[in-house]
Amino acid sequence: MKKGSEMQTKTTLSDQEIIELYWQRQEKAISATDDKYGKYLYTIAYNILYNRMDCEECLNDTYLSTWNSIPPQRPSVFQVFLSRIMRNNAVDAYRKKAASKRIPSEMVSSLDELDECTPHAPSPDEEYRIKELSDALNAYVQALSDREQFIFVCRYYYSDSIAMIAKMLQISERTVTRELKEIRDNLKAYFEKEGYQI
Amino acid sequence: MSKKHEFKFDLLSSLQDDVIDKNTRKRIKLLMALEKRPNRKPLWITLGSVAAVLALFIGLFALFTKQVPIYTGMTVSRTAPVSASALPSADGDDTVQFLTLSQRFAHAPSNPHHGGDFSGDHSGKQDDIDQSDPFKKGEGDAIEEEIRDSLSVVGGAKSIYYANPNETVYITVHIENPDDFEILSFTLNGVKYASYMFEPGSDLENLILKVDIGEVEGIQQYTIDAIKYVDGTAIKDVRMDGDRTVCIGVSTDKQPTVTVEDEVIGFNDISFSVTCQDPLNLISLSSGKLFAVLYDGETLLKTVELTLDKKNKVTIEGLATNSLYQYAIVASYDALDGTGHNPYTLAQKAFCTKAIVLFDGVSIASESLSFALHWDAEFKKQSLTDLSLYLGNEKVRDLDVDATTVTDLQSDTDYTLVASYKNGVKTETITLQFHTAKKVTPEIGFTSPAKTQTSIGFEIVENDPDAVGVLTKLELLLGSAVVQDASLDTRSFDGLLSDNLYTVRLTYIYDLNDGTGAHTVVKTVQIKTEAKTAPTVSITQTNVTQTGFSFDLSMTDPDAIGSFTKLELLLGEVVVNEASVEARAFDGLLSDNVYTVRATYVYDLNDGKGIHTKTIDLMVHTIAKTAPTVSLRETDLSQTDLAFDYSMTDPDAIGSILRFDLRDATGAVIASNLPTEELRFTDLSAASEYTVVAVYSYDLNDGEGIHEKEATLRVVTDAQVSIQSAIVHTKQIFPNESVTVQLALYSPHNVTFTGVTINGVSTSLKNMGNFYLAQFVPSVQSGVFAVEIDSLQYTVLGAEKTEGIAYETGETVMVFGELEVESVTLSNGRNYAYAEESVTGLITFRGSEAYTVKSIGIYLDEERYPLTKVNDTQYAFEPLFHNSPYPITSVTYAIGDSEKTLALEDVSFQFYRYGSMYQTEISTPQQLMSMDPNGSYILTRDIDMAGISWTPYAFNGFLDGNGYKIKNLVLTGSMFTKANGILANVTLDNVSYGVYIANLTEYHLFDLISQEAYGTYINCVANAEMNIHIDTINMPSSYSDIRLFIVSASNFTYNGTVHVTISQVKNSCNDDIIKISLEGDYNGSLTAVKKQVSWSDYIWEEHLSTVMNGNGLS
Repeated sequence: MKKGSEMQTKTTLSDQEIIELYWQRQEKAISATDDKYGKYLYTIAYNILYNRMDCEECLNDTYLSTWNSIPPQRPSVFQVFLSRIMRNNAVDAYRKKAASKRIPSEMVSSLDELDECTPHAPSPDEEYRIKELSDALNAYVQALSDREQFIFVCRYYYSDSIAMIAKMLQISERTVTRELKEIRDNLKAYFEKEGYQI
Repeated sequence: MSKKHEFKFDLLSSLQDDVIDKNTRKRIKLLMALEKRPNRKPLWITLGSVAAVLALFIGLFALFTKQVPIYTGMTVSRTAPVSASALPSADGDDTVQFLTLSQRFAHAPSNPHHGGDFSGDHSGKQDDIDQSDPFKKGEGDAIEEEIRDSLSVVGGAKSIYYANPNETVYITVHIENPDDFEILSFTLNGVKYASYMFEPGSDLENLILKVDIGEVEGIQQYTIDAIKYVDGTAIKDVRMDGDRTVCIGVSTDKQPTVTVEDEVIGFNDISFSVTCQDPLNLISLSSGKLFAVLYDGETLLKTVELTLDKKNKVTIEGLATNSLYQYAIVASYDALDGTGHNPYTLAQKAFCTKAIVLFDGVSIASESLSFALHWDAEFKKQSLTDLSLYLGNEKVRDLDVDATTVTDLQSDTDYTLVASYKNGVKTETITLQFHTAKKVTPEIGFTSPAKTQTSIGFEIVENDPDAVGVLTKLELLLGSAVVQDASLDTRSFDGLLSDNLYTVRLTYIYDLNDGTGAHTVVKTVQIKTEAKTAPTVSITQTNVTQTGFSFDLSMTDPDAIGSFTKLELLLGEVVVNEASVEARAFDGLLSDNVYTVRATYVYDLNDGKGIHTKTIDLMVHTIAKTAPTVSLRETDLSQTDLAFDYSMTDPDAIGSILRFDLRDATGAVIASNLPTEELRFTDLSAASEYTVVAVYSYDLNDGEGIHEKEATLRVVTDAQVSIQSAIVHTKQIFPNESVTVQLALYSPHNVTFTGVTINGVSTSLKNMGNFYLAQFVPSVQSGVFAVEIDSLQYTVLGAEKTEGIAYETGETVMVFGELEVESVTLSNGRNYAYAEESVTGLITFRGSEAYTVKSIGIYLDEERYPLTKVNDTQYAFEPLFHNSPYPITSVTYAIGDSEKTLALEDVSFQFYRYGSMYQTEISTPQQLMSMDPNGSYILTRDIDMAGISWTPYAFNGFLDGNGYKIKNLVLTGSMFTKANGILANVTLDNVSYGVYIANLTEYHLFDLISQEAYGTYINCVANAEMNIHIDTINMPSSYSDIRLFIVSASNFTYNGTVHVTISQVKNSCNDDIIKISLEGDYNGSLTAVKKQVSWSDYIWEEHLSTVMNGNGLS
């Protein structure tokens, strides 16, 4: 190697390079993924599970799922692809654990927040209504500003803590709390306008 | 997860992909940035309150005097900058490194050596120049060192950031932004980049952008424009102070090269043409330059700058004749390899200026040199003035100026030949350094070593092409001592010791005439004579008896050097026999003793160690003789006499009986017999203990002498015993029952009575104090027998004895044999009788011939029916009641006055008495449909009910089918509303039974004959197809299941298929089970069909009772 490259202590591969490694069935694909995204994936699981060991298990499951899905898949946005798998794994693990006891995780408190603004769960013979509700929610989220949308996804999809969202956006926790409250109030009004009972 | 959470979770999971994608990317970017962002908080904390107040003032001040952001420049890095505010350092350190490209030029081959070596002023001199190190400086490239020193100051060119093709680089835009305005976007090479596209690590003063460099090699330029920021609500342009353009080099193999041609070398000058090829214009784009330089090994004599775009003609003059120089073409530029701007040698060559005269045709041998002179044609006075030979710095010979050979030289030696000539008035010299060839060092050595047990052989091989050596000595050594100084042509030595290591040594002297004098070589070879093999001896036992043994003794001796010298026989450590070495057996020995055969043998291995003496032992155990044994047995024993016999087991016939002694209980000998006398002792006391002792002796021939032993037989003489009386307590028994006998027994001696044998049957005695009781099971199975006592068993002094008595008790015992009931019937031969008919019961026995059967017991013997004898095996009784079964539980029978009652099992009798013999005859369907409910009827022909509607009614009378059939009956429910009378011999043929129930709310029973059928049925059959259709089953949930009972009355056999169809089941009961029972006598199958309800909702169970032949559910 020439002199310029000696300055680099560790090479962070691009997503495309990592995906290429998966396609070539090289095991260093996993370590490259872990180097690049391990920490961020971990936060997703931690918000849901609040347990270090469970999170690491989830992380390993996620790498395994990734290894098993690439190939044939070639995710266009690798980080989103990983995040989704991680979130699903974490929620599965949560379901197993939460069957026996309540886990005081960030996910529980974030979901609880939504009590005030989401309709009741439809009964089993009204399952078709879930699709309706989902369409309505998507329409509402699409209409949010970028920042509101980001806060909403972080808080309710990734169950990020308010402090974490404040840090990411470099704003105060009070601001995040206030904006979340606004989003929820508007959501409630929106649902009610659409004819749902809260 | 709670249902509430699950629902919300699912709802959130249904968020659209683009929303999740966009925000996930943003989230990861922000999280990455968060990790890299320096945490400024602690700084503020340490500043303390004073600083906080100060900051407040500064903040207020800044509020009113905000500074416009200023663009200060761009930097490029391969990785995202760790701290965006830190400028990437220059690529590498500032030292300009000289990178050699000299490997592009092939090195000139070194001068080929012809036996010897030479160098200096000879005609092949130009070719001899070592292009890699022409000035013999040893290390490095002298001209390149020099160029680096001279040209590093030329500089002035820019170092360019470089990257590999298709690599991603990071361009950091630096902005002075003290008031932290939000930067919105900028334009780079015409493409607009917004803030969300900035890489993690970007902040308000450093905007990091990831750029894919593409695959075009060479230098690319990036120009920034229109950096926008937000001031309050207005979007404004950043002030552009810095250099707007940044260059990025893409590394490439297409480096500049030069072509050097038209080279002309003169006595005092050189000229050549240079053309530069630089496809990517690296030299000009990096502001570099191209030079031609000339070097004399010490300094750069000349530097000529060349143009890049055309052929340059270079001429350098003023050089010395016959002198070594080097020229090089050097470019200074950025090669885009990450090392920045450097000088590179693109071409270089060393050369010699032309000479007036040179040595030519040089040829060197080991002791001579020949040569010629090659004069430049333009030079006029082609003659030498002096020719000398030097060894080192010392002149060793003056040679004739016309000489072309030098002889008598030492081999392998450096010489110098110096020739002088006149160039005008100047005397010039040329020199030739040469090295004479080396003479070949001779080689000598041993080959082909050979050996026997007493000799060795070898060959000597010599390789001496220059004949400089001679063999001077040949010696034989054993250890370090010389045992023979042999002639030089000796090639073998004989009469040697075996298994010894000998050394052959030669001395060889040679002289190479190279000034180092004579050399002596000593070579040796070590050869070991073969060893002789020590003989091995084996000795094995071949046979052994009680008094001797034989053996094999053999020696394996391939070199015939051994022999046996002694053969001895030892008992323990004592030699008992010294035999001839030929002996192979010993006899007359003791039995059961261990002997040792010891053979001694000697041999000489001829190895200088003398004669070896060895022994070998064989241990032999002679077979032992067997001690005889004697056993005694009594042949006759009474109260006073003892006769006995003996047997002796003596396989080796070494024993003899000495005498027989009789000892009393104290051990005193009271009589003796010799073996020749009658073996009997007389006049003994009754019930007393005696011992017979046989004394015998034998000799085992084992050295232990004669043994005397005893064998003993303990006897107890018989006691006096007798029976005083016997009473038989049991007089009547069934076969295999026991008889009890009471006995009074007497003995004057101290005996214990243990058993008795009565009528051939042995049994134990139970001591009851004054008398004994014995129980025995006689073998007699029937009839009378007299009780006789055969013998008594008792013990006296521990001996068990039997005394034959033959005592007749005068009493008899009666044995009642087996009696079985074979059948119970009615005297009319039927199993029923009419009301007016007079009948008796008839009971037939098996085994009743010997007895008079008196009565039978009915119902647990509550009543006894007297029997009237019909014949030996048949007895009559008056049946008392009917229509119910008679269990006959016992029978009483007698012989003479003795009678016994035998319990019976499984004997039952039942008959029916019904109706009047005077029945109304039925021959039409109408008659059948209108029978008197209590009347008595008989069919006189088959009744065909086809097409006739049947109306159920109650019938409690008597109907005799009389072998005829009721055919084609169609029923929509049971045939009768009640059927509590008697149906006999009724056959219903081809009955069609169809029941429909709209709403079934409880367990239901279906019967062909009657829902209430408590009558008596004899020999009745229905061949019917039953169809049961239930529209809705609607059972209360309190029912655990749903049951349908399809029944036939006892003795009313149904043949046919039952179809059950259920349309729907509502309000399922607890278990969701439908049970369909066929109860009664069925020959047929059941099919069950349920419609409109999924089968899997219910478990179908067939519940079968009594007989059901056929298929199960389908």
